[in-house]
Amino acid sequence: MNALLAVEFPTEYSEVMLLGFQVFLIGIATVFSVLILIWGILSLFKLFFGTKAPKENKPVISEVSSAVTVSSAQDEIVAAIAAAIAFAEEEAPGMKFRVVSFKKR
Amino acid sequence: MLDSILEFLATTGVAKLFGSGDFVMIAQYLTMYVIIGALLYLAIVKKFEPLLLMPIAFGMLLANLPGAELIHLDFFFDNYYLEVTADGSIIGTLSTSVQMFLNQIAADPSLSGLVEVVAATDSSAGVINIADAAFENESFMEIFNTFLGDAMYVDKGAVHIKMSAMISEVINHGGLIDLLYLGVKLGIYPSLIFMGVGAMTDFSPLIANPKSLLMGAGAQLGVFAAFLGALAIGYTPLEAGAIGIIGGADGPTAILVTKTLAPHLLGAIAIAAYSYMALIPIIQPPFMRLLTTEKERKIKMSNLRPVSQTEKVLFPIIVTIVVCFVIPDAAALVGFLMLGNLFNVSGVTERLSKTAQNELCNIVTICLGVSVGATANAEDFLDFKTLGIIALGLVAFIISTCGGLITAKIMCWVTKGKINPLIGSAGVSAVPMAARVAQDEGRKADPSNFLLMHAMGPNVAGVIGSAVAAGVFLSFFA
Repeated sequence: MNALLAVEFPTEYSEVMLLGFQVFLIGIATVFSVLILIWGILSLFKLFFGTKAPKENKPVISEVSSAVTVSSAQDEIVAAIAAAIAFAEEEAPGMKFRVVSFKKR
Repeated sequence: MLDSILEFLATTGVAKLFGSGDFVMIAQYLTMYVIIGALLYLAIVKKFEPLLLMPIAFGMLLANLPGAELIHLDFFFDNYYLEVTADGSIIGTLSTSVQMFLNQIAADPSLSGLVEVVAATDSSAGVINIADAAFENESFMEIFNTFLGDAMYVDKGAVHIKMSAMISEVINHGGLIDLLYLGVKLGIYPSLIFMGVGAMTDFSPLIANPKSLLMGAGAQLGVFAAFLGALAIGYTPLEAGAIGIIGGADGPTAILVTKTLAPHLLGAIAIAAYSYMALIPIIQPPFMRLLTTEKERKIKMSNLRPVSQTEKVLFPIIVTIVVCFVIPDAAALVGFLMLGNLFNVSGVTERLSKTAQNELCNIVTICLGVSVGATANAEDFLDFKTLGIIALGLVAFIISTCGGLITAKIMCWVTKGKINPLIGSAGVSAVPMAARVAQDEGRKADPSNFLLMHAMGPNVAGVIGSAVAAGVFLSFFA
């Protein structure tokens, strides 16, 4: 039987809860299945298109030419200082600070 | 002159509210103003999700100005067009057509028994039942199409109001917010916002560490648990689905599911979803500390590998194909999320990417916020269902957080301590707030710990996971 302007669902409490458990199980299983499928595909990405992670304690910039290295390193320092200042201002608005010294290492 | 002044005074909002003498209504309106004030306070002073809470709160204010009538929610509900009352009579804008249809059916003896009018009762709405065989009967379908075909259609065992009938009503008799609300009703805004989110999101941490997807999946536990809880305390399956999706911690997804399954709850669900997303830094940390040990919180994760341009470009295309082939109902969300991301990573559509991230996303956010807020009118918003939604929404958020944490703990155990379980809590969407909370908690345990990029993996996986969960509800109930 169709209903004009209505969607038919079970009305008995036990039937409603049965429907609920079905949706719960199918839903969780579907979410995990789809995301695991994507995981599998992304793992294949690594094999075909991936690049290796940089080894720790070994600066990547050492392989770049010296002129670029200086520029890149300076950019990174400036970026790091700017990010630290922005973060500090966000964490404690109104906080005042001054640069005491720069040391060349 | 005096009459003119009195007539004018009678049109004011003050007269309409206080002159009615209906103290319940007055109390409802005043309560709504308190709630609106609280939401505006959270948005402006506390800066909790201001980009959305502010338009939502102001939309609520616009919808609760006595006499302004900026939105006519009736236009978007079936019973505006047709309702069977307790005495079996038919009312609504289509009542004449429906009555003529019933008269024609009754006049044809060969169609007897195919249609039955069931009056409304205290516990259920009235309906007009039509036997399945009727839709295979040529005479019946001819009468149906003659009298109701312009405004109704048959789909999945039920007769529905055509969108064209609603749009016609809005254009002929609606106002500004009615027009804006069409973007919600047609599912336009959530998809466009998802496109902006996709353009803003860097999926590299997820591509570099695809295991994160498991945490995004685990964090959807709250969605289905809240759905089950809502069913258990008496919400309908459609309402329960809309309430459950609050646990996905994703505003556009919650709005898309709710406008489809339970549009009458849209205001309450949108407000609950965005409020809890804003409160993530308060809701999550106690459960993060409860479910992890000090030692686990101090785990430092190894650097993520760099992701190539080819991987970044292939990712949105492949995710769209995989997700939408399995759950076609998720296409409106996942498809647009990935389109926005492709604009960003392809390197050849910078203008489109910037538009999706900025102007378009901002315009749509205003339209969405105002029109969703405007659905929360005093009469419908202030009832026990809203309280239930707020409670179940919180439960959904907590269970989702715990689901992500437990999944991450299992992965920590399997990988022999290579994964910090804190990042599991970021599996709820709420990008990037949830990832920031994981970073902050990790730093509290060890100030030199840096988990943000690691937490972004499960965080963006949560966006995909909640869209899939939404697709599941839509495919079951829409």
